[in-house]
Parts: sequence; structure tokens; C-alpha cells
Amino acid sequence: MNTTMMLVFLLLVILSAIIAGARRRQRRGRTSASQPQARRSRFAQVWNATGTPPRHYDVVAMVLTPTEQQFARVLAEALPSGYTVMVQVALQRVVTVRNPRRGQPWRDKRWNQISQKSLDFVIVRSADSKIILAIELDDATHLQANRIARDELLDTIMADAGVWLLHVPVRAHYDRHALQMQLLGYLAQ
Amino acid sequence: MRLVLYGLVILLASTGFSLLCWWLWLRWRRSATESPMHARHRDYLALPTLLNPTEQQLAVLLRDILPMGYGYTAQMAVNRLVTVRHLRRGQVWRDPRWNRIAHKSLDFVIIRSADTQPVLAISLTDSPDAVLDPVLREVGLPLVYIAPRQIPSRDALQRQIVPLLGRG
Repeated sequence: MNTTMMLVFLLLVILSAIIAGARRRQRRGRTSASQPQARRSRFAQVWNATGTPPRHYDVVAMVLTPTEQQFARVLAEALPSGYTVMVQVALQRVVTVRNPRRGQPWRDKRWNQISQKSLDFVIVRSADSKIILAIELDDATHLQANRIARDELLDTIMADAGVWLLHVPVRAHYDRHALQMQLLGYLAQ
Repeated sequence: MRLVLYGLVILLASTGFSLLCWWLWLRWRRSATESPMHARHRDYLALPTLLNPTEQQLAVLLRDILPMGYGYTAQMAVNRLVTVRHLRRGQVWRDPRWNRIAHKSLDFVIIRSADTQPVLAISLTDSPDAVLDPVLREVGLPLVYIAPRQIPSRDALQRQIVPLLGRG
């Protein structure tokens, strides 16, 4: 008798857990489905009021900031032929998640950690676009707490993936020869 | 009767154990990835090349046809090319306009070498991107689609790309 009671109790607990999970999932789905509708109506309101569709985006005037441009020029001079510098490269195009969730990458927090980040400079071999080295130019913003945390995470990810990442502090002038020597060390590997 | 009961007990116990394991695994996964400071070892791996063979083929052509004063970059993060108007500082992830473009990248972006102004974007795809297409149209940056299976010849690409450079 006791065993039967216990069985029934266990069965009830499992059933209620399953129902609670299903309801929670349903509620989540309903919330996410209602959001685009709300956005559309706000968009329509602005459109109707002004007569023109509201602008949400702007294109940047420059892909690189003046300090990055200055470094890019020195980098291009210091780099031997046969290598190309790419700028503002999406991190997810350099490293990828091991054993990703097929079709649902956004559910993977590891993917979310890399999906929105970019690298200032990536040096690739021109012949086959093999990734040689990534460079981050560290300006004053890299001293902020959130940037320090972001840099540490980036260092961990790149080290985990086995891609060299070089941090170069922003300077008024760059020593081309010193940078060349530093680069040769990486290119030789 | 007793055999059926034993069977039921075993079935329920194994179901409960599986659910417990699943819950523990979810918790472990969450705790391991929630702290951004400690990415677990062997979570990531490097991609062998930045460009696939078709993109490499196009890169060679671009290097060849681009006039003096223009360069290109590949696999550029769209959030570095396009900014969102009136974005809430510190809460960017709450803005659906940001989330729409945040994880996107463009195969090639042609930039003016003098000041790195973006003038043209190229996407190697068969069909227009439902997100990028309206966004780039809104900001006025030309976006050229090239079918990966039909990479144009050097001359055809030159005729297609070069006239657009002045418009950027």
C-alpha cells in the first residue's frame, strides 16, 4: 500500500514539473511573439506623425578612428609582403564555438560571448587568408572597468582558441622597426 | 502484480534520475558561462582561414580591380559599420534595432584609404539578406550581392563595382 502511495506521489510530482515547464515555455513564447507587434505599432505611429519613415541607423563616417588610422598606416608599412590587414573583423569569423547547438546558436552563451565582438585588426596570409595574428589597439577607453572585463574575456577566448592576440597601447608615434620586429616574431610561427 | 510494481518503480526512478541529471547539467552550463571572466577551457576553436575559397577568389579579383585610393576589409562586423540612433547607453542589448544587426558581418566592405570611409558593401549570397538589405538601404550604403556559384569575371566585376565607388 505504502509503495503504491509513494508511486502515485512520485508520478504526480513528475507530472506537475512537466506541466509547469510547458506553461513556462508557452508564456515565454507568447511574450517574445507580442514584442514585434508592439514595435511595429510604435514605428507606425512615428511614421504617421512625420509622414516619413523614422530612421533608426546611421553609417559611420570612418571605419577606423584617427588613432587607429595612424596605427594602421604604420602597421601596413611594417608588414612584409604576402600579408594583408583586415580591420574591424567580427570575432565570430575568427573563432567559433566548439560543439555548437545546430540551428540555435543564440541559445548558447559561449556564442553570445563572441557574436557581437570585433577585433580592431586581423593579419592574414594573402595567399590563403590564414589567420596569423589579431591586434587590439588599447586607447583610454580600455582603462574603464567594463572594457577591462571585456579585454580579459577576449584574451581568454583567443588563448582558448589558440589565436595570437597582441595588445598595442595607443601612442602619439609608433616605432615602425620595433613593430616590425614584434610582427616578425608572430609571422615566423 | 509485484513484478509490475517493481517495473514501475524502476521506470519512475530512472525518469526522476534523468530529470535530475538534466537539471544539474543545465545549472552547470549556466554557471560555467554566466561569468564572462572565466570562459571554460576548450570552448572555442580558431577558424582555419578568414575567407572560404569563394571569398578568397573574390578577394583576389577585388585586389586587382580596385582603383588607387580604395582598399577593402573582409568579414567586417556590421555593428562597426552602422550605428543605432538614440541608443540607450549601457543597455544596448535591450534595443531590438541593435540586436538585429549586432551579430551580423559583411563579407567585404570597400573603404576609401585616405580616411577609411566605407563606400560599398559586398555580400556573397544568392538571396538578399532580409535584415542587412533594408538597414544598408536606409543608411545609403550600396550593397552588392554576388552569387557564390557565379563569381563574375574581372571585367564584369569592375563594371559592377567601380561606378558605385563614387556614390559612397
